[in-house]
Amino acid sequence: MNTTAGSSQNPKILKIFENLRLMLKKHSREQFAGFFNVEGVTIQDIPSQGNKVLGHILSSILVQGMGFRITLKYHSDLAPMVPLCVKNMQVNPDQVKERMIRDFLREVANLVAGAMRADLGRNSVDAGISLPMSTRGFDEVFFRGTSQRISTTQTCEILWESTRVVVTQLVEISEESSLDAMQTYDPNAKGNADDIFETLMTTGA
Amino acid sequence: MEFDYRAFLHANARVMEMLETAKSHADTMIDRLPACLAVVDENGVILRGNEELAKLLQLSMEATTNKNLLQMLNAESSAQLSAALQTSMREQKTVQLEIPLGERDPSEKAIRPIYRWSLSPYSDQPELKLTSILASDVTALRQMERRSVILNDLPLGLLSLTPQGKVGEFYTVYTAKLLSSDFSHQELEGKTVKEVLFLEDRNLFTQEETDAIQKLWSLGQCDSKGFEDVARALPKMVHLPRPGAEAKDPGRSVRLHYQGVFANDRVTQVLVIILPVPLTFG
Repeated sequence: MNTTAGSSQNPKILKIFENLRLMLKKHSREQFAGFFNVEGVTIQDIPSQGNKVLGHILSSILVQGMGFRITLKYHSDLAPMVPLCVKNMQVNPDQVKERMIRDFLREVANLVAGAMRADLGRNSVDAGISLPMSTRGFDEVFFRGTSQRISTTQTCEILWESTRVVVTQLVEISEESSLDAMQTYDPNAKGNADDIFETLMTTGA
Repeated sequence: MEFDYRAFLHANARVMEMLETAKSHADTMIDRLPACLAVVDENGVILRGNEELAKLLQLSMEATTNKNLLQMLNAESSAQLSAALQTSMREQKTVQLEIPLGERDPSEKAIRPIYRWSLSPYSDQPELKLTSILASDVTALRQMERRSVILNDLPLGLLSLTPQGKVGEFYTVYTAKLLSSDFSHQELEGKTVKEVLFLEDRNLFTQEETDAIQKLWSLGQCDSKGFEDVARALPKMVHLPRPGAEAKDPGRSVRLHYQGVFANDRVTQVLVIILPVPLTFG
């Protein structure tokens, strides 16, 4: 976990950051595997990639509540996503278009954000999610960093066969107590499937 | 009245889709630019490249990302581009330079492609220390310039005429001196044939020649057959003043040969080859 300079070293905040990282990894792996209907999806932490552009395309979405904001980004090149598109769309590799890959990544971002919102809700943290947006990976260089004193950027990668999607999560806290309830978050707690369904219905997804 | 969240979200989704589409068109425009475009960081690492750059580096477009442009050129080119990058960042100004790419061929037989590079600070957010690089292949242009220099120095009178009977943009240096009264270089472009070649005070043209000269003013409508008729009737020899000679000096004689240049069987230019007598041509 990469906690940006100037962030709090408060153990409570560090615990919240750690739990949010677990939440991100849990939902990213589950939603990715579920959406693409594949087995053997793994997710692992990776060090901060510095100023690198993390992929040719980028899907981003916000999860925001009173006093905090979580920016989720899914970065990928096109070629590694082709096998997944072929499997899901029943098309030949040469029929896979950038548009399809963008749509898939956008949907993954939307599902993960929805699941996170539901998880936050179960922990008594109200949050809303934005519409997902897909753009070119290069745009990331203009949207790095934060002015918030308490923040962290977490980076991990989703792996399935030759597919690799890099996930970054920027957590910014403007009200220190806003995510207190997440100190006791249990990533293994079984959520109610209706929660996610309700979230997606509410966001119009 | 209850707030309709669904309609609100659909409206926002529609706006987002429009923005994404507009952004995608702008990206496509950059991707397909007929010149290499790269945005690099302060070390020369490519953060954004387009298709032409990918072609130059023999990579796919997405594979150009995070590659160091300076490390993908030969040592000589890399040093020059690196210096230009530093200058552009330090002085916050556009730097332009031409760099031959590829390794130098000791036998000088292989042509090294020449690229013109233009480096500009990406000024929107100077703290990012990004530089936009535009590079285009100017090999053909430089080759043409070199050939033009050689042609220009030929000891042969050669000038082009527009279909309106005026001297065109091409004529050799020798021609300009040959047609001057004092061997000085004179600007010929835009002058009429009567001013530079068919001097009425030194020549007595037949009616057929006069008519043919007159037709030089409207050659644009002429096909190859029509041009042959005009060329056949034009003067084959004219007298020009001899530099430094007295007024009563008969001058020198030059032979003229006319060559039409055609496009879609219409005259676009006439090349006039001027040979001092007794030299002949054809």
